Amino acid sequence: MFQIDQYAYSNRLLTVHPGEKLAFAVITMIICLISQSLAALLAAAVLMAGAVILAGIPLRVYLKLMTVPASFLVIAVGAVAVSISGNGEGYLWGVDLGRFYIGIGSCNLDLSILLLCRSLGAISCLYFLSLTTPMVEVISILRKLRVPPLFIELMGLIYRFIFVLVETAESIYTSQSSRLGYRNLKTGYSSLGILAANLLVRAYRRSEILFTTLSSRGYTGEIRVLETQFAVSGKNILAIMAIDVLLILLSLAEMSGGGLIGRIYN
Amino acid sequence: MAESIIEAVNVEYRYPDGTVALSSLSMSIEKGKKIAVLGSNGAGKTTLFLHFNAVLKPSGGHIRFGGKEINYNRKCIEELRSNVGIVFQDPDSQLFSASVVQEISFGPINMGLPRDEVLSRVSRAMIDTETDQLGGRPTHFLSYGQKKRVSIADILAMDPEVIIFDEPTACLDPRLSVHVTGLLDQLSRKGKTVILSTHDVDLAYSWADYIFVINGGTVSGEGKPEDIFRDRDFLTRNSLERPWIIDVFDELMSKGLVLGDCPAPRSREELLDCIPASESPGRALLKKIK
Ligand SMILES: Nc1ncnc2c1ncn2[C@@H]1O[C@H](COP(=O)(O)OP(=O)(O)O)[C@@H](O)[C@H]1O
Ligand SMILES: [Mg+2]
Repeated sequence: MFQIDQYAYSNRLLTVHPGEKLAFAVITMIICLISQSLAALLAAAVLMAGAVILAGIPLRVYLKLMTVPASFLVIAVGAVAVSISGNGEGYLWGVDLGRFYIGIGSCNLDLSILLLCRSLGAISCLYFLSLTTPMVEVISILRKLRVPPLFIELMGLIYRFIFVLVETAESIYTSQSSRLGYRNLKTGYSSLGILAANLLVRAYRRSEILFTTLSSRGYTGEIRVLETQFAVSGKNILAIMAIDVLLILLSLAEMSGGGLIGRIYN
Repeated sequence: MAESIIEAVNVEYRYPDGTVALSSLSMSIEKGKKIAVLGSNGAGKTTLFLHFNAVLKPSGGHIRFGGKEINYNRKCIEELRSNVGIVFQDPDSQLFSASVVQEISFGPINMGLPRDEVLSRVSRAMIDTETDQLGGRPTHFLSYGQKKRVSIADILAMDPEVIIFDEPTACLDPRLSVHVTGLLDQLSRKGKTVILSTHDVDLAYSWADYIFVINGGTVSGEGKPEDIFRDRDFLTRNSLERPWIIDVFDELMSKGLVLGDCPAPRSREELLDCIPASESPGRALLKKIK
């Protein structure tokens, strides 16, 4: 997670208006969630991967990040593909268990492939956003979009204090393990319990101290800060529009041409 | 008596858990001076500073700013907080934003300044603390020293009359300590009242114009640095060390190795200046023996 965050602050698309990146990621993701076209979904995934590479993130790192959701995906897609029924009709492959038949049906297979591509597309959009756009800027765009201040402030504080909390947890863990706290399973469980309890207490104490330090700088219930100004680029907006319109057209074309979905329902 | 800018009069404070942190503490801080507050851990330094900023309200006694008693209504508190800034000991408890620029802009924006003024103050504070290279970095990837400097810029951008530094040089490497004390001197030259708390007697001795010693939640002694550190009984009572410069100076003096008219030195350089180049009584004596 820290690695993603580090790239977010050091990639080549850092100077691009965060609103443009957010719009690109969100619109493309919506298309991915609606589109039934395999081609459009795969194109979206490839485009996002391309954009991430363009931003200077090594392909190796990107692929490694992709393996994180991949394990969930494989399980979910597998579960959709496999089904049980009374007879072996319409199954591409299966096992006869006497009264039941377990196997992979052709419609289930198509559905699971669609699901896989859709998830890939949507995940790529999210990765694009989080690898190229610092959280601080996502938050400031949301503020400009008039998302309620309470929500914005919470997001900002949670983001900042995740790192403090992880640091605290790490230091407690180190101090415990240097005194053999994780020598075996039994001490491990008890150390972990102490760590969790301490983390809670310290987080609470931290929030109190934060309130004090903010108050001393004139906090009266609302966090207001300077916003960074970015240049809007007409070229980028055009490119985003072109790409997304293309993806939509691709989806529509396949729908009317009776693509995958046509085959399922025929 | 010179004008006092901030004053604690018989202040009592008890934390909700029953700990008595301050008991009948009185302290009067002169405008434009460099003040050191010396005290061991738990003496009550931080608690006192929170009173100077109206974050805590005394359970007895009162605080005065510019001669006027603080009455804890909103306007009075806001005015006090824009006139008195505190740089807290742990920068991680002060930095609330992941963005350095947003972090530093928080105080000036709360003071209701216009955007241009906020911008110019933020950039000036960043230059003064040498954090201008960190603008695009998130605060969680900064080193401790960098975070400390950002937390100082936080307060400089508010440009308060009185700036309080709570143990500013704890955990800093020597180079950064020197940078921070340099900053303190610079602020003092601009006419600010600078208060710092520390348990480093050498720092307090060579930097401060006036020293308060806090022990067990009350002021156990105050005075000019050269007077405070002469009284050995007082030092042992408050478990304070003697600054090394005084130790060396006294030793040299007792052996007759310093110039007769030399005042007590405050820094390493002043101490070296007290040692005569060639002809001193000590050296003359040595020559005679030869
Ligand atoms: N939030 C708190 N709740 C209860 N007791 C506290 C709290 N903060 C400080 N204290 C107690 O008040 C006393 C003074 O603490 P503090 O002002 O932090 O001292 P110093 O800054 O000189 O180290 C200590 O005994 C400390 O344990
Ligand atoms: Mg303290």
